[in-house]
Amino acid sequence: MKRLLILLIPVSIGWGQVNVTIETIPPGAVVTIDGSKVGETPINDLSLASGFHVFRITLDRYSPIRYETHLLAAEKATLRFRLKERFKVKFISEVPEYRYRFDNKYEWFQEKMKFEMEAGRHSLEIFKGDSLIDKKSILIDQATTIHYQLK
Amino acid sequence: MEKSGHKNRYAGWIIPGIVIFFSGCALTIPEYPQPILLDESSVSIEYTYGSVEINAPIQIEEGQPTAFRLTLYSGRDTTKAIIERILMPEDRMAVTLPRSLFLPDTLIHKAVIEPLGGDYLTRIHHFSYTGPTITLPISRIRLRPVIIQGSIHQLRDGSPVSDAEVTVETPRGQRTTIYSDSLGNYRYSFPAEILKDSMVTLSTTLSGSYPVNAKQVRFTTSKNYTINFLVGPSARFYQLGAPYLVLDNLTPFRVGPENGAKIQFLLPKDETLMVTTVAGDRLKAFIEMKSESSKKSQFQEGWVLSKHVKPIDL
Repeated sequence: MKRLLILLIPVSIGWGQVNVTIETIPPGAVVTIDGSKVGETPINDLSLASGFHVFRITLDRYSPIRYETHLLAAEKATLRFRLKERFKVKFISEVPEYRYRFDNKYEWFQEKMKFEMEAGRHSLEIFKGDSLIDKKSILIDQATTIHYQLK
Repeated sequence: MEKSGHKNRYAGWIIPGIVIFFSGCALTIPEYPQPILLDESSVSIEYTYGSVEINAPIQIEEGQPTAFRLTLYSGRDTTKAIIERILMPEDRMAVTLPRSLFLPDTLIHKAVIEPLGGDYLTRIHHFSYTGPTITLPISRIRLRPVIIQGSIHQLRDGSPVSDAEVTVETPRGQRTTIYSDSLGNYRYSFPAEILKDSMVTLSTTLSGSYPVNAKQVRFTTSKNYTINFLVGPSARFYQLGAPYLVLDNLTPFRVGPENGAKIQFLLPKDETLMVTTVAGDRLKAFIEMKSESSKKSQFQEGWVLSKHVKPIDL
């Protein structure tokens, strides 16, 4: 019986465990899995049970990533995260009393506003009352100032 | 003068300073309370899978299969085989497959082992992923059996005869007795190799003076045979009088009612009689006799003592 247990224990520990590697671009991001900090990227040979996990990747000046996945019972899993940098952006409008909105989500009324924006292509919408009067696509890839004036 | 001149000089600095301070306040740009995110996280996940070895041990109990077809189905799609492999008897009955085919672990997969080169039973095993090496239960290889089945019914009205004895005799002289169920059905199966190109005799008997009802089955390529039996007295016999059953073995069946009358037969227990006349303690009755060769019925009239028989309800 004792022999059987000795044999079974390593087998049962091995089942369902996945050897996980976590890489980020750029490296040095802090990785938290299921609420516990596991270190900074790159992380190699991390043994995780297969199943549901929540990964959180954070790095200064970059947007954090929250990633939920059901880790399959593979021998090895390599997770690669590309972090997006955030830039300081000033917005100055030359048209008063309008309403502005970024990415169909972030609204404001002031003609001047400072933002911390994730790199990438954002949409800017301008409303007068409830009517959409203008729409623009803005690429953010550095700290910049957006001067808005109505066509 | 100087002092007042001093005062005037400070006053000249204070006023522009206040103006600059307030205008500076007016120029301060507010900060949006949250970062503007695109929520387009860029994540890739790459899995590397190990392999799974599936062992399917076999034990040949009947016949000599020339090869085996091993087919595996994943629990994710039980209609499409993930692998089909022909293995020779001397080959190791095992296949190695990527682990990814057996994900997730909770699924039930299926292995089908089909012996080739004869009429063999296919073996099916269901299994789940339990580790990198999976060993299925031993597949015992047997020939598909011959099944002989049928029913036994009363000749007079077609009613089923339960617990009727059916004797099966193989050409090698092996005799096996089985009994019909409450619906008069019986079923018997043999390993096929014993019966190849041979004949089997089935027989059933009813109590009374009825001959053994025997039938022969010559085996062909089919594995299923249905042999039905109709037994007992005929319907025509039942129209001759009131049915009685013989209570005692060796009951005299005489030509006349008197004590010294000639005995035609000694009737066995449970023989059926059709009584036509009652004369005191003697009964005039018919018995039915069947010839084994012609299978035709003959009715014979005679007398029995009433103490040896009892009326029966049909």
